Amino acid sequence: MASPDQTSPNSVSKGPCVNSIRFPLSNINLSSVLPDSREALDHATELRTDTAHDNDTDSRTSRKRLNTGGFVIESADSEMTDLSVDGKIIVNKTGSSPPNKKRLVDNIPVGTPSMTSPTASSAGSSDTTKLSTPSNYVINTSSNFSDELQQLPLPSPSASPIQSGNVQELDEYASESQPVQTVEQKAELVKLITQMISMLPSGSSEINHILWSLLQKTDRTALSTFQDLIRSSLRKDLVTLLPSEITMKIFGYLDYVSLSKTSEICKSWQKIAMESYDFWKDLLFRDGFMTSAEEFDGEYNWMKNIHQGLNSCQLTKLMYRRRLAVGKRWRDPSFQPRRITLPGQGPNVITCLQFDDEKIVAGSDDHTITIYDTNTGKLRSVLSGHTGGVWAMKYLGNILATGATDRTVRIWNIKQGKCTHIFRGHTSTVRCLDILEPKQIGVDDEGNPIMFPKTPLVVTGSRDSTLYVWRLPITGEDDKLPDEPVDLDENFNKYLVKVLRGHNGPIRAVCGFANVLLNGSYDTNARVWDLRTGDCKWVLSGHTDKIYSCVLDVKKNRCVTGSADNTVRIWDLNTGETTAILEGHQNLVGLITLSENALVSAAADSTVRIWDPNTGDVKHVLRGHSGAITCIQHNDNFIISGSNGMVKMWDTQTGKFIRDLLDDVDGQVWQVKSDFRRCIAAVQKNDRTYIEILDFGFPDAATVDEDLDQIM
Amino acid sequence: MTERKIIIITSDGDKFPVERKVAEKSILIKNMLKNLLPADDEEEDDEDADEPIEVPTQNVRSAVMKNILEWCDHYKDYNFPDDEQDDDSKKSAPIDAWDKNFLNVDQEMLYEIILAANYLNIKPLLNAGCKVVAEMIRGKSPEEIRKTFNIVNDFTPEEEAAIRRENEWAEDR
Repeated sequence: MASPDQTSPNSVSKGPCVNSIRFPLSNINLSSVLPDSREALDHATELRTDTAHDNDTDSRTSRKRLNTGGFVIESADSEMTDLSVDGKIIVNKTGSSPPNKKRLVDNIPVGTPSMTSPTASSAGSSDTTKLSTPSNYVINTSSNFSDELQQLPLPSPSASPIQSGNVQELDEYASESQPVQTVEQKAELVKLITQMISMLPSGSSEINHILWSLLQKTDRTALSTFQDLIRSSLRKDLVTLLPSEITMKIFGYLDYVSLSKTSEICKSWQKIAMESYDFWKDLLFRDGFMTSAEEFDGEYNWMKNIHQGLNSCQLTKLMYRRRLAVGKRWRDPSFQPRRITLPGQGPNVITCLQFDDEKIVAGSDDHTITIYDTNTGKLRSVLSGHTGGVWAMKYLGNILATGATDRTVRIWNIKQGKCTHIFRGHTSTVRCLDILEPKQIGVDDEGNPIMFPKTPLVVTGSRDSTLYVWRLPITGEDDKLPDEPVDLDENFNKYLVKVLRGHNGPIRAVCGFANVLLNGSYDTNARVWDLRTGDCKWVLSGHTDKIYSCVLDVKKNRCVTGSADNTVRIWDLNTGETTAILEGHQNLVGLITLSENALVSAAADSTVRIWDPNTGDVKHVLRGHSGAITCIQHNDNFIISGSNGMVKMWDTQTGKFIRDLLDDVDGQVWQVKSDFRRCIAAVQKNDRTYIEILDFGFPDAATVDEDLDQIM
Repeated sequence: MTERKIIIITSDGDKFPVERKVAEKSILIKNMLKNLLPADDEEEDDEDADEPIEVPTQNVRSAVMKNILEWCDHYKDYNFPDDEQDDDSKKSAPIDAWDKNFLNVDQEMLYEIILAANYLNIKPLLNAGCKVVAEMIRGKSPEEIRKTFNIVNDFTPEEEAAIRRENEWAEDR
């Protein structure tokens, strides 16, 4: 056993003044505990370390940590020994050491040179967390245990200087290699060792060395117990101690329940929880309550206006709470949403529908587009001008683009209810269209963002097998507009950017993002175009029948198509190859929608299927409709599907049926669209068409906390 | 041509010889090496081509480095996807089982591994570490969380009641 002779008695004698000398082992009561020296080996020796009264700060913190982990040592011979919360240690004296030592050696490789001669490092004695243990053995051993040994904030009876005479006595013991036999000798020895140890600075390499020597003499069960103790005394407030950017990351992994709890822990956690509004913003998106930055910004600014006193974190938390509350209403079949039924104009078909918080825009095969007020349901205007049924439509802000069987594309100023432009060029019905907004597609040499398109584009697909790309003419809400729309034919239209040719059949579906355009055609192919050049990048061949629907997954650079061949295909846009063929539908797949975590397809076979968007594996088949699915809408939380006489709502994650949203429809369900609070459906009752507004956000859960409390 | 040896030196002076691809799991070291070894092949006829490259890491002690290198070695042949923007879907993904087991260490070591992963710029390890800590918080009551991290509740009963009231909405799912 190595003696701590590197630290001379002189050097340790400067410490707390001699008056305060306490011998931690003074109340050792061996004689009372051990009636017979023979039995002594089987009995416990009580070592009261008394760190509770120690003034040393280090020890006090250590003891506090100890308190969290009271535990019991079960010794080798089943004698229960106890290391309890008040710092009292009762260690069972188990027989002689050699066998125990052997077991330990089996467990922890030791005996590296550095252990027998520890480097007397200059580690500051006050800093117990930055020890310089002989580090070589750490590399040479593979056990985590050795790592733990380096920094034990265990209670250390760091008492006081002691007369050097004891040291000499100990040296004598140490020099004898014979195991100590008698109880008296042991008691004396323990006393001496403890005194010796108390002379060394806490956390010094010498202490570590002694600890190591002791551990070598410890048996496995005690080691196991110590390990528990060590683990619990190493507990610390990681969240507060880590740099804030890392803490932010940690909090970013929490769900809303845990995230709200973080503010209840203590003041420093509360501060972190209140520091950033990103947590709640992230959750709003992650939990599928919001899907676009525009939606978030709009609502955030609106909330900010209502609640002037709240900071950004409180506002986003409130936004989350509101969305959660409204989401619960959707899922509660007993909750009746506010319902407004708008009579349509006769038996016509609503071919397309789009809405926001202000307006509902519905295109019809009666050649008109009707605009309603979302809140009141009041008719705002009827846009007429098309001379054929309207079959394609989309608006961006105040500008509406429509396509009809009259082969024209019309641009409208919604606020003023006026057609501003007529684009001619298609030679057959305009069947589908999309509007592409400017998006950042890269960075130039000077680090400035490259945007594409420069101004919004409208792309129209027609039965004439072509796609036309136009710049979208923007007029202000209050601009003075000419009485008659500007009527432009193909040859003299400054808004026409490109005509995309290549398909051999009608274009049935189109969608785009930034410079990427995807379309599906009745010629069984889909194509991917680069709008910067107008080149066709991929011809996606594989379907064996007409393609009816397509969606782009820009993030993952993929797309999905649905076809009359009853399959859905996922394509990789890096290679133009099919990555998965989704089989199962028994009839044409007319509708596909995609959210972050779910791909949903709806078919004429009256089923809706939920697929894993990454693997293409089917997750759920939704049965309950009795006819072809005519319309569908979904997000990560729920799916709404419509078929003759039914509008049903399902859980996207579990595939479970939640509720019927409308139960009095007796005809077609032409369209259904929804946002977080409303479901708008165009349905047929008694052979007449109606628009139904179901509002789950009423009464509004946004204004005051009390309102929120009421609805939760 | 043989690869030049790389030796990582820890804050306490230990030396770890490592393969380059292991060391390069740390973007910090990768960038450092990029500057030291311009192109992989040409102009490598310097006399000191045989000299090992020593990489000092001032903030990481040996015991922690040993763990970090074990992690790097495990993933040396795996290319992590660029994850500049933290994907939402990744956030809800569970911790990799191997990582979870690897990070089943005491809190002191976990703390140091997270700090080292941050300093050495090893994103996937940092993320895994953060997930493990998040896991320690998730689903627990405030009292359990305090116990887990040895935190003293420094709110007055009134403050605590007020916060709890404010959070009541999140109690039941």
